[in-house]
Amino acid sequence: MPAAAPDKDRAQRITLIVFLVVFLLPAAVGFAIKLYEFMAVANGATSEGTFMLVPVLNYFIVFMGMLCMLAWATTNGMFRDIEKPKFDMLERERQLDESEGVLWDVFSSDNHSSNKSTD
Amino acid sequence: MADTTATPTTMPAVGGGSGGQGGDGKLVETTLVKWHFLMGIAFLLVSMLAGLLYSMQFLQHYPLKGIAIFSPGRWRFVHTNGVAYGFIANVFLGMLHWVVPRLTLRPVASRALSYFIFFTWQGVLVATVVGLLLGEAQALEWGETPVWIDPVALLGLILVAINFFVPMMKTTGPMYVTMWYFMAAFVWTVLVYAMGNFLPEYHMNGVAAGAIGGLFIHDLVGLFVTPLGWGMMYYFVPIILRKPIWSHGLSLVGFWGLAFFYPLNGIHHFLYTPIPMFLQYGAVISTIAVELVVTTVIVNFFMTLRGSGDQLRTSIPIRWFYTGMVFYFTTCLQCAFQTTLTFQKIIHFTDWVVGHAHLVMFGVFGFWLLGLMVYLLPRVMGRDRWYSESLHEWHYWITAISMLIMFFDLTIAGLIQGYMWRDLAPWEETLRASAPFWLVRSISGTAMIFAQFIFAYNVLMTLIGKRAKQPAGEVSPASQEGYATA
Ligand code: HEM
Ligand code: HEM
Repeated sequence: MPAAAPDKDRAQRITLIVFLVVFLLPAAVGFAIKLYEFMAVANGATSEGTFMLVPVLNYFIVFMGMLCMLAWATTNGMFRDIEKPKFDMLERERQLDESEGVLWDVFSSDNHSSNKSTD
Repeated sequence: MADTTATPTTMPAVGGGSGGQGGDGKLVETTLVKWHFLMGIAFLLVSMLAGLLYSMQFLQHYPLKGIAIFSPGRWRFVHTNGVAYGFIANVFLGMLHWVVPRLTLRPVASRALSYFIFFTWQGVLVATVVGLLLGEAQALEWGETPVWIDPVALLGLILVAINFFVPMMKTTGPMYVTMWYFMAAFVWTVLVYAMGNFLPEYHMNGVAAGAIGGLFIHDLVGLFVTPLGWGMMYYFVPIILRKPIWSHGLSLVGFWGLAFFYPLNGIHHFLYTPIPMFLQYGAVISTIAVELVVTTVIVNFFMTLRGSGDQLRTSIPIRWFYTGMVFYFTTCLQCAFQTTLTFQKIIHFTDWVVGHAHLVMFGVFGFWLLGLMVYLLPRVMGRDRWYSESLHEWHYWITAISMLIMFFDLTIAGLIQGYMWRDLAPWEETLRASAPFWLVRSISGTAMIFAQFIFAYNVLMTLIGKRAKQPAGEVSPASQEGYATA
């Protein structure tokens, strides 16, 4: 249904933004508070919980790794044409299956118009 | 360096995907996929029998009393380690050998290494079972594997990561969400395993070791099982439904949400302990944040299903997948409550948690893996179709119903136990009140095992049945019905 496509795009974009705002923002605030409290423990402001430094540090190491990966992904254009990979993946799989003789008889071009991106 | 985002014009040989023949230059080593699946099924059966055996202890009718290697506690470890490392890990490894080469259009780094990993992993599993039965368990929850196995298992995990990373790193351009999940899972699993098995064992003690233990348990389920499971769903659901995932952007929000907030959750396993309260509150809040991450995944999959609902009836794999998703949503909703301090007062240490563990480990990930095997096994065994389609129906319905019964049974038992403990009821009385629920657990468990034997029988009969009439590469569309049963 080509007419429905822009609506679908809009619905997707709105859902994306809602989820970003609803949980990424509060989570970022929560994270900042945790970081502050952790620093307080590390600086000896409170004697309670110094034994927790190693476990929490562990988390931060992984977190830094993820942050580097996010930065790398962003600078390498991984999110530029954000819907494209889903069409490519499906097309590749269709070709692989068909090269094996498994035909996608119900494959709908409507769902999946070659490499066209919705973004 | 080829760009996998571009549609390839010539396809590499898939490795007799449907026919399963060998031959060089093939993309997928179907024999390995098949072996991992078959070993996974074998471990599922053994560990479920171990669970049933252990459940008899609760009924005070343990059949093998007084024999050291049959002491119930040891069989509990066989049960939990068997389902996690024997069933789930084996089937995941088979799945990765199928998905990664097809996604990247490159075979794994080394086929010989894959076989080496296969045999090492089965060796590790058998040694674990033997070690546990001989009483060599470590006092570390989910890390009970005998201490001398830890370095071998870690080495195995590093080799797995290398083997799959090589084809993944050769791809360029925006990656499909499945690749994100898999890449992260490989790194996380190695780190989590090393952290959970070596830090508490050699470097830490007391509450800090406990906190690491909590982080380990949760990261194992959240950073090994969850990303591989979600990555797998993002790959197979669109392929079986023949349409792309509803929103790739939303799927990436889910991925990054998982990456940043899941590791913070570990401490929710140790609420009301001497761990500082700010960390406990942090764990509760980030656990609830993870619920929202889960919601993005669920929304995405149900929006993708829209307009294809009849597939729930006609396609057995899709039915397993979406039943797992409904259970996932159910258990995560349950988790949002169980993680609050109000609920913790009641349900911690009760059968409520055991109910959660079964619903999520088997009802969700187990169901997804069963759906995957229903879809792929005939192809990797070189068969046109399943021996029996109606056995699939029996398998599905008996498993799903008995899973639901077990879940509700344990959840209610947990609430009763929790309230009775809170009211300081005598211990014997709480045992008496729990006994009927434990009986129902054993009965529903027996039904569940029976259903898995039906599946195993179907696999066996398919395996010894006729090979595909057409050579590899010439399987008719009708053979697809073998996977999408009408
Ligand atoms: C967002 C989803 C999840 C949340 C919020 C959650 C929350 C929790 C909490 C709070 C506990 C501890 C309960 C207690 O001891 O009082 C727990 C235990 C457990 N969870 Fe989850 N969980 C989630 C997902 C999962 C997944 C995906 C798996 C498995 C793949 C899993 C497997 C387990 C297991 C096995 C236990 C018992 C651990 C033990 O032996 O002590 N959970 N979960
Ligand atoms: C045949 C059916 C099954 C029976 C009768 C059964 C029975 C049991 C029993 C008695 C326990 C110990 C609970 C306790 O210590 O209080 C247990 C624990 C566990 N089982 Fe099962 N089980 C079955 C199937 C499964 C399957 C298929 C899976 C996963 C794929 C699984 C995953 C677990 C986990 C993760 C735990 C640890 C729970 C915790 O520590 O909180 N079980 N099971």
